[in-house]
Amino acid sequence: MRHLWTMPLSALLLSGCVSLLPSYNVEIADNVDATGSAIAKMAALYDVSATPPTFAQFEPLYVDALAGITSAERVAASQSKLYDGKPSAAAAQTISRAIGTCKTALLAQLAFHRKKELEEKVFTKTSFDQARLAETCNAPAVMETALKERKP
Amino acid sequence: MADIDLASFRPGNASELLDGILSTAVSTALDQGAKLKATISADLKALSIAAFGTQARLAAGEIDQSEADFLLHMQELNLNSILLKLQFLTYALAQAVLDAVFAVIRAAVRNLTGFDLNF
Repeated sequence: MRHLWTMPLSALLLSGCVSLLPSYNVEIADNVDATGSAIAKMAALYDVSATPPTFAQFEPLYVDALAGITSAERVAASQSKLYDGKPSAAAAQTISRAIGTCKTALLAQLAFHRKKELEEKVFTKTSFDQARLAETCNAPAVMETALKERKP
Repeated sequence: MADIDLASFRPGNASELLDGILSTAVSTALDQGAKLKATISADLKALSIAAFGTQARLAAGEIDQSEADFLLHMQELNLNSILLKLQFLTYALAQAVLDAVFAVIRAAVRNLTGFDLNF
């Protein structure tokens, strides 16, 4: 009688390897970090430059940020396919969508920055909301960190 | 319900095992849920401060309409990413509860039978 509970238990054991999360992906994490640091450099540029920085000074940072997030997007898309049909597919897709949102925000700011360059050529720290861009692009990094810190 | 000690957890029947699982699941969920709430409310607070600031600057004539449009678009994307983060961290919470529950079951099996299951 004492071991009756092992019967429903064995059914539980069969489903024991259920994982709702994809595994930590170092390639996504690194690329997302590269984007984050390029965005941090944009914010720092305002503090470092004595005169208001020109678009030319921002251009290499946009290149770095966009390259990072595009690579992350590619890796995340192929990872999502890997988890297709598994319980972890939803979480993998959420990472993909967070990366996509960051890329959209980055492209929106780039387009606006270009437009402002043509119009007036002077940027101040408050022309763009750098903090919003940084926050948006931090989301995929938070997700990968959560996966990394997960106890095995 | 207090946290159970996995090293000495030896349920005598199904109901004791259930008690162990429940107390672990509840305490893990509460713990993770509090962290999640703290993260998301900090994010939302920063976002609402930004949105209010944009509105005030537009009203004061510091920025024109196209700038306000852009800033609000960025805030919209930020909100989107906060919601995705919430969604993801909810999966992480469910996983933490699942892991904790299986740790209890594994401990019970190990303590009662001596078999260390690796699932």
